[in-house]
Amino acid sequence: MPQPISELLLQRILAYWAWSGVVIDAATEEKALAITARALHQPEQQRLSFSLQALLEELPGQTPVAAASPPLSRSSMHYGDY
Amino acid sequence: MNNPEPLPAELLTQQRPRWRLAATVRRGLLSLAVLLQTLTATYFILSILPYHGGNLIEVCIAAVFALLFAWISVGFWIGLTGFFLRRIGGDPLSLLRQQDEATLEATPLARTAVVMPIYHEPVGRSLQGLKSVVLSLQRSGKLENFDFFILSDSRDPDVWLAEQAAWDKLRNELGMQDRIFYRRRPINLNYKSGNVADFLRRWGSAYEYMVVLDADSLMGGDNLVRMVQLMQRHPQVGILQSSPSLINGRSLFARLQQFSNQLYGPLFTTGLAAIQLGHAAFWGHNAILRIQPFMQHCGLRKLPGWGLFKGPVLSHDFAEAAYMGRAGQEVWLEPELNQSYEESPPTLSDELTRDRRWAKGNLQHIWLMLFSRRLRLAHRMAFMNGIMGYVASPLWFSFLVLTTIEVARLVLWPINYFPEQNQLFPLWPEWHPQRAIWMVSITLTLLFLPKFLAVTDVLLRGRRQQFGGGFKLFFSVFLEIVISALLAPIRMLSHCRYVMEALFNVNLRWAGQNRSGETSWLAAVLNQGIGSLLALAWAGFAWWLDPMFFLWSLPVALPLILAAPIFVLLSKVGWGEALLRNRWLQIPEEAQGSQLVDDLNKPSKLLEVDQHAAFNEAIVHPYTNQLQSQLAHAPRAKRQQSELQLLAQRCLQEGPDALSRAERNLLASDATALRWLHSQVWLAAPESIWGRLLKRRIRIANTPNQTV
Repeated sequence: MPQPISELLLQRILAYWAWSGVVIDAATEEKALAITARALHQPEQQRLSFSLQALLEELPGQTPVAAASPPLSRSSMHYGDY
Repeated sequence: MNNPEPLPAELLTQQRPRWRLAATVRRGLLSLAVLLQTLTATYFILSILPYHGGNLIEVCIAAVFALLFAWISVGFWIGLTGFFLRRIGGDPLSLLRQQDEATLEATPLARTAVVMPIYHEPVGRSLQGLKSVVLSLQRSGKLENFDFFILSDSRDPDVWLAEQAAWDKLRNELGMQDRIFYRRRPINLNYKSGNVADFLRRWGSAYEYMVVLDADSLMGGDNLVRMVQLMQRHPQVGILQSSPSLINGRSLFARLQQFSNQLYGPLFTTGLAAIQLGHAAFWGHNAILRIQPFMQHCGLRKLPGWGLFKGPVLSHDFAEAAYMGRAGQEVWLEPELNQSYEESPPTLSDELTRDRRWAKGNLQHIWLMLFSRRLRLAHRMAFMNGIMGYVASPLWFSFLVLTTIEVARLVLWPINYFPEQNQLFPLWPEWHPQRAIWMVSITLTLLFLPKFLAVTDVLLRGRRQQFGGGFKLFFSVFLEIVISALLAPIRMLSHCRYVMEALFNVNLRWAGQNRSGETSWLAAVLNQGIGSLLALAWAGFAWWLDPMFFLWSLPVALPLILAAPIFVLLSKVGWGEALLRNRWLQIPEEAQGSQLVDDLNKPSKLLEVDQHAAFNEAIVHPYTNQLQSQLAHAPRAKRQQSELQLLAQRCLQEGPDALSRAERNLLASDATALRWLHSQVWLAAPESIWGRLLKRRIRIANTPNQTV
């Protein structure tokens, strides 16, 4: 049996939030259910994009990752004879 | 990062030049002992041979024998020297003993970079090792003097994306965002030495010292601090090499290797260090290097010769030590610096894969040994030592072939009693089996006496419990000797192949070491089948020639015939663990515990990073996508961008498996492509490829104890 669209939407919203570091408690579950309910009222083709947009709005903005390497401090290797 | 500051002159330990004189005396005595022993043994073998060296075959047998005997004689005398020095409490000339403990303790540190070059290694294990090092330094209270660099040369996107994810976890876990760095080279110019050189060009001038770790290295914080302090006090020292012990073995093979390394190793490294003193070798890792002279003198140019001797230097470490020595800097091996570890290859198959690379690297040194200018004799000898490590195998093989020809000639050809014209008396071939047995006994003594001295040393130091107790220690030694005797001919035949491959310059794969997994029967048979057939044919021929010669051939032929089962059985993790539970083949770290090693084996999120699905994870997982996008290239030129967009479309429609590694590399390196794919995948229809991948990923996340 194919997965019902409501279950799919809810599953994706909760997974996205959980992986983004949001604690999944009763309040977030309620929000997820609310987004799912609103998405179900959208045209069929737009339900996924609507829910993605809505769940992103609930997340804080991107935090920049600290630099992978320190500022360059260039110098040369010397290649002498053998 | 601060600029390095030199240590005030009053804090420097006055260099004692007497080590140079001692080095000359010790090396002279060693050469004399080896020479006398080899000449005596060669004279003895000539007396054993039927015509006493009276024909070409016997002259060749005696010459090959002399080379092989000299080789094992060097090992014997080094072991004996090590035993003697350990009995008197250590070498008084070692670097560690040139100042007292309190003086060393009071020496201020300097900025030090701990670098870990990696290439397609199991990322979780490597970074967990680095974490143990950081935690150990934290406990030593000197962490603020060290920065850490993971220097990746990995090219498979699944591997380097996993490395980046694991590195991010590591620095977040330790709260060291500005101290643990990651740098990847998309082009692996000059392999590991090029990787380190790239680091030095970018950041070398910001540090006084660099500690090089391998992907499986582990070094204690106190040890690292001690090494920096020694370098601070001895500005003439360019490289200080610690002697890493093997740990963490799980398979029977790895446990045997680490047992013999921990039991016999100290004797040999003490002896070796005493002979080399300030002209020691660099082993490529678990060592500290003074950056400024290293950058000034140790750049490795490509070899200009032909075949094997053209292109980048593969085994760079010996060459770097030799160049450091040429520049007037000292290179020391300090066996008493403890808490320095690495791991053994888990199986014989993995060890031989590594030896294949090392054989090529060491044989390249022939060119450096012969043609490099102004190198110290000790470093030329170090090259020779490394070369002999592999050339000894074809020599042994030649010895077997020559002795077989000699026996065949005696059995199959009619004996000519009057080979010379006008000869008055017949020439009788003489055969002295008792002398042959004596010769074998002497050779075995040379091979095994240092091992028994190492056991004696352990017993005299009251360390038997660290190796499982008296009875288990002896049983373990017996097991190790039997298995190392079985392995010797197998290694010999494989090394012969590798030397031939290297000399004929066959391209070798340069990939990371397998650190898990057992050898399958199929792989073992495919790998060793030809050698087994060759040994079977040889043993059959020996039997046909003379049953006595067959018996002499058995110690070599039998292990080769049984090579496949030996490969498989030694790779068994279950057997290794059963021995561990019963304290057989036990090593001190297992007996008394070690915080450093325990940290390595603790459950960790780093070990959960899956490097088989890292590309998918970089696209699917919101946080990972954000991380990887920020580490990737900024948007590129329009033309490239449109090509990447087409590739991303294909990835979305046909799935990640439809792309080649190079195509996935391109996408994973581009921030725009990664972000676009991420947003599209979360909109994917449930029945599409990405929809199914996403569903599977969510299911795994909701199921405890499953990895991606």
